[in-house]
This record gives sequence, structure tokens and C-alpha cells, in this order.
Amino acid sequence: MQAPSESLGQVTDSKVVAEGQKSGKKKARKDLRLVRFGAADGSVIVGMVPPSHMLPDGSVKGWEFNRCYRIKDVDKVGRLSVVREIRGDEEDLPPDLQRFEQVEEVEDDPRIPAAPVMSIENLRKWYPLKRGFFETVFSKEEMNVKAVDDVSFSLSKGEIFALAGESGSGKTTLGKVLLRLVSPSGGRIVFLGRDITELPDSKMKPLRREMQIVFQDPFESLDPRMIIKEIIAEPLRVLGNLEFDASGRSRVRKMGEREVEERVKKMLSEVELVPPEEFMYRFPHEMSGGQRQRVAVARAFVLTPSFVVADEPVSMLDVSIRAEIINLMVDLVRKSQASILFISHDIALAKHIADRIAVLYLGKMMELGSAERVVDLPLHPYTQALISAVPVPDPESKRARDVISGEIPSPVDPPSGCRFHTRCPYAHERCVNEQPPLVEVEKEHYVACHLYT
Amino acid sequence: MRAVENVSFGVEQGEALGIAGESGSGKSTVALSLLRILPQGGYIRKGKIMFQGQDLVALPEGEMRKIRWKGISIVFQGAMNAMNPVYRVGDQIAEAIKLHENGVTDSDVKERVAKLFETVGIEPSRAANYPHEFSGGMRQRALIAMALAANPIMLIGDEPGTALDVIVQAQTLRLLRDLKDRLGLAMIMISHDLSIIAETCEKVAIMYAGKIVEYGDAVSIFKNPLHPYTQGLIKAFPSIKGERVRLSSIPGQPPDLLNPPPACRFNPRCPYVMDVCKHQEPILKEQEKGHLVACHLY
Repeated sequence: MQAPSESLGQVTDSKVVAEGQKSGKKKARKDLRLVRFGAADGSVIVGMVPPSHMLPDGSVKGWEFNRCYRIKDVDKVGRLSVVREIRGDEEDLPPDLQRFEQVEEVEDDPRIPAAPVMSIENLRKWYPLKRGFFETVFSKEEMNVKAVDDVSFSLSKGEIFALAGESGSGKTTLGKVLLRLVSPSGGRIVFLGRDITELPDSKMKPLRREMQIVFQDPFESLDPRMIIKEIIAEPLRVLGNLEFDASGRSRVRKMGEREVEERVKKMLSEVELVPPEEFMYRFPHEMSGGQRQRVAVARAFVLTPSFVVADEPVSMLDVSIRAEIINLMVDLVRKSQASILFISHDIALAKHIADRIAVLYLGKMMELGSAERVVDLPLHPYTQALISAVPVPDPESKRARDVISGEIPSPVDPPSGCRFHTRCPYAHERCVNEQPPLVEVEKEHYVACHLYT
Repeated sequence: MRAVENVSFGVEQGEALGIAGESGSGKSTVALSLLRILPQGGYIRKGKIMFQGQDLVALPEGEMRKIRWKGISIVFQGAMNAMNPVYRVGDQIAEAIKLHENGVTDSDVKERVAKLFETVGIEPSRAANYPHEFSGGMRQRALIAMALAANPIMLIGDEPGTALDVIVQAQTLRLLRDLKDRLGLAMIMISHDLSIIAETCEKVAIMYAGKIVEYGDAVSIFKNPLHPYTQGLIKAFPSIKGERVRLSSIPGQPPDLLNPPPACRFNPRCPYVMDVCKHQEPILKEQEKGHLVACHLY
């Protein structure tokens, strides 16, 4: 492994902490190493890193520094008294830590392969069709609805990844498969370095606190018989009110009822439902759609997950309050460094908040690239059609648009070759017979279209 | 509860008026009032609805029935649920024609249905299908065909694009625009989505808490929005063109109409709020030619 361009400092001391639970026959989880630096102002900074990120020359790769603590003192026994966690709160960061943060944000550094939070390879979700007895006798061919077909991508830490496409394109199914709410029919899902494709439910459960979902309809996703406090506290309760240590791996202790309440209050103020006391004891029906969606966001983030699926989180809301909920989610993501899969048919919205956009059509990925490039310079004819269909709030530009005809075909028997050829204005013979591969046309901008191969 | 108060506007033949506002702003109530089909308990307390020289408010119910569909018809939102699932689509449209026109022959009706299907761009042979055999976009088209069944003079679209995908939505909007030009319909489009209105309408009325706060032609409202609420709405729109920016929003909640804020109803959310806004209600007055606004700033 090569050293990063700038060493973050020499490790003065390191030891293994958070050894993972070695109870019974369970295998130890990954060890974390506590490393210590002498900071410029004389105090000591301590951070946790996995041993794999310690470099041979004794320095540490800074981008993994997700949790840092300022240490006041180390007592004789070697126990640390942590003054407070410094993570994310930019104003309060001491200069030396700000440097860490900056290093962490360096993108596209080929020397540092940032570990993805979630990555999928050739993921498939096919639903077999029910057929009558005679059909099964006379035809051996199996019929499947190919909801998601051979999709691959990965999400890095803190990334907002948008999935765009019409209804029936498979975006929601893909979100559910990633969360293992439905199991995939093929391919691989790797979450936080673990292959979860076939993981049994019992082993999925501890990982579930790292993955959350915000649903589309805040009128149906909140239990009408629970008060807001209970709705937000429920994820904590499901996990037995356990508090986890900084590494997120090992249990530290059980939270008391008062602490749970504190957490709920903190979450409510983070989603700007203030004062929290006023909202905690309400029922969902006593709140407006925007407020309910804030509760749904608070519930998703209360466990500080590393991965959140937001399935059309604002499409049911009025335009005037959409922006607020979106900004709130973006802020929470930036603060908590969670990765978000943002499912939306509104590609204009995706452009403004997402880092990358993937366009799906009939379960296939058509285009993938940075949000700006995909919207400003769409390569695939389908992406171009999606973008030109977006209504523009400018009455003078209305006659200039071309709208493609037709609607998304049935995924039971999708068109041969390129699935878009039935509606594509540039379709030629090759598109009917041959499926176009996803190729990189410019840096980090992929498209599956014969116009580019 | 006063859902709509002091609302005035006019629509001419071949012209489209857009009514925009958040949910609860009273825009749908306006539409239902025009047809006098307000939900139970709702009634028109005061005012006039002049349609071709007749005051619809004063009209007896029997006369009003003749206006509905033949005079003014409506396309409801939710294309998925607005049709009867157990009747063929063509028969549902035929029913509307038979109800409103005495003495039409069956073959006439059949021909009319086929022609309506053609008008909205559906294969006439599909008239024998049931609604579930139609896709979302086709159902929306069929609903438009149904609204046009009795050759109305005015068409009201209540959120005609929402709940549809962008591409299908764009197709529907284009169809409505074409129909308006081709048939010379007067149109009222109701939507919370300003961009849908910008795409289809020549005139715009912005509603907030049951009142019109700004009214004028579409170009001057979108180019030069005067009311802070309109400005906020336009800014809240993620633009497909231009730089990536942080979206701006209108802070606060839509008002409770049972207990609306005093004087200017937008004052608790207004960035330019002044003392006078809390004591005196602004009246809608002409600021530029044909561009009216109700705000103390002007």
C-alpha cells in the first residue's frame, strides 16, 4: 500500500482497542487500533483506525479518520479520559483536525482506494410469473419479470447517489434489494466490507442498524397509534436500547429511559421540529405532511446509520416544502457521513443534491455519472428524453421541447437488444439485436448505448 | 371555515388560466365552485360566476346540470381511480354523451367515441378495453376524452399532471395545449406545480390561504414575480438548467384556515414582513399593466 501524499503525522503510540466481542464461539470482529498524535497545541488527538490502514512507516492514512477524540489526560492505568468527540462539527475543529477532514474529502485520488459503503455487482431481481398447469406442461420456458437486471455500482462514504427513471424502471425494487428487504436472484451485495447477498436474517439483524429507509408517503409510513416520541425511539428499542461504542461494533451499555428520551429530543431538534417537547407527544395525524416526513427522517437517522435509502421522499409533498426536507436530509448526510441512495423520478432535483446519478430503464442501467455531467451533457437518448420532459418554470421556453412518444413497455417481455429501442429516435438495426454494454465515454461517465460503441 | 375568499378572475375562449398554490390554498375549492359540486356542507356564500352571460350561482339546479359537461367539464386528478373498473372505457364515454344529448343514435355515439379517442391519441379499437387494460398515460388520455365528450366550452384540469411520470406528464400537457388551440377551449389548470402552469397557461393566479395574492399574464409573473410568496415558490423550484445550488424554501407551515393569521395571511412566513402587514390587509391592485398583486410592499 502506498503512502498518501501527505502523512498525517507520526503515531506516537498505538494499541488495540475495541477488540470485538469474543464471547463463545463467535469470531472476533475486526480490531480497531487506537492511534495517538501530538497535536500542534500540545494536546493529544486520538483516533480509531483499522490496522489495515496503518502504514509500514508508522503513519496513518488520514482519510479513514472517521472518529477523532481530543484527549485531556491519560491516567496511569492507560485509560483515556475523552473530553469530547470531535467529528463533523466544522467550527470547533482544531486546525490539525481540519487537515484530516480535508484529506478525507480528497476525491479521485487514485492512490487511495476509498472503501465503498455499499457495492453491488451484476445484481438481479427476477420475479417468476405464476402460470397455469397447462402452460407448464406445454412449455418449459420460464417467464420472469426482470425488475432489476445486471446492475452494478458502489456508494462511497457520505455520497448521495440518485437513481432516476420512470415508474416500472425498477428503482424501488433495487432499493429494497440493497436493504435485503427482498432477496436478490443473482449477483452480489457487499455492505461495509461484508457480503450480505445470502446472509441469513438472524445475521442481517445486527447490520440493520446501519441501514435505514425513508418512505415516500408520510401519511402511511407512520403508525397512527403511536406518538412521535415512540416512533422515533422504536429503532432504539428494537435493538434493546443498547448504546454502542464509537467504533459502532461493540456494545457498551444499556441506555436508560431518560437517555432514550434525550436522543429523541436531539433528533427532533436536528430535523427542526422545535421545541421537541411540543411535538414529542403528538400523534401523526396532528401534524402536516412536511412535519411527518421530518419525523420519518428523524427515525431513519436516530441510529446513525451508514446507509439510507430515501424512496421518493418528497414527491408527495408540496413544492414549497420539498426544498426544506431535501436540505435537511443533505445536512444530516453531511453531518453524519452516511451514504444515501436517493430514488427519484425528478431528475432536476437529483441534479441539485446528488453527487452521482444513475438512470434506470426496465431494470437496466442506462447511464451513470456525476450529477452535473449526466444532466448537463446527457449521453443516452433516454436520459435526454427524461431531461427534456422536465417542465420548466419559464413560460417563454414552452414550445421548444420534444417529447418522446409511448410508455415504458412491460418488464415481463422486455424488448430485445437495447431495451429502449422501441422508443428511441436513433434506433437502428444493431439496437434491436444486440444489448449495448455499459462503457466509459468520459472519465467516470458511463453509458449503455450503441451510439457510443 | 372560509376556504376561498374574494377571488375574482376571468377566462376567455382559447385562453388558459393557471391557478397555483399549496395544498389547502383553496384552489380545488374554486374549481368545484365553478361547477357547483362542492362537497357536502360547502356552499357559495357570496359572489357571482358569470358563464356566457349567465350567473351560475343563481341558476337553479336543473339548469346547472345542463351547464356541467356541455358548458364546463373537468378532468380530475388521479387518472388511476377516476374510471369505473367494471365498464368498458368506450361505454363510459358513450354514457356521458347519451346523458347530455337527447335523441342521439347508438351508431352516432359509437362514431363520436371513436373520434374522441383519435383526438386524444388512442387507437379507437381500444374503446372495448377495460380501464385496467390501459396504462397510466392512456387512462389520463381517456379521462380527457371523456371530459370532451359533450363538446364543452371550458375545460378545468384539477392537477392533471401529478401522479404521472415526467414523460407521460409532458405528453399529457402537450395534448391539453394542442386541444385548447385546436378546439378553442377556455381552460383552467389547477396545480401546485408552477412549472406545469408555466408550460400550459397564458394567465396565472397565485393563491395563498384562500385568496389570490398575485394575478397576471404568465410571462410577467414568471419573469418579474412581485409577491414574496410567488418569489419563494419560483425559487423553491429545482431548475434543470444552470449551476448546482442549495435549494431555497419558504420557511414555516401553510396557515390553518380555521384560524388564519390576521391581516396579510402570508405575514408569518414573509421575509419582508412590516408592521402594517399585521394590521391591515393588502388589497389586490394593479402594479403593472395587467399584473395585480396584494402586498404592502407596493
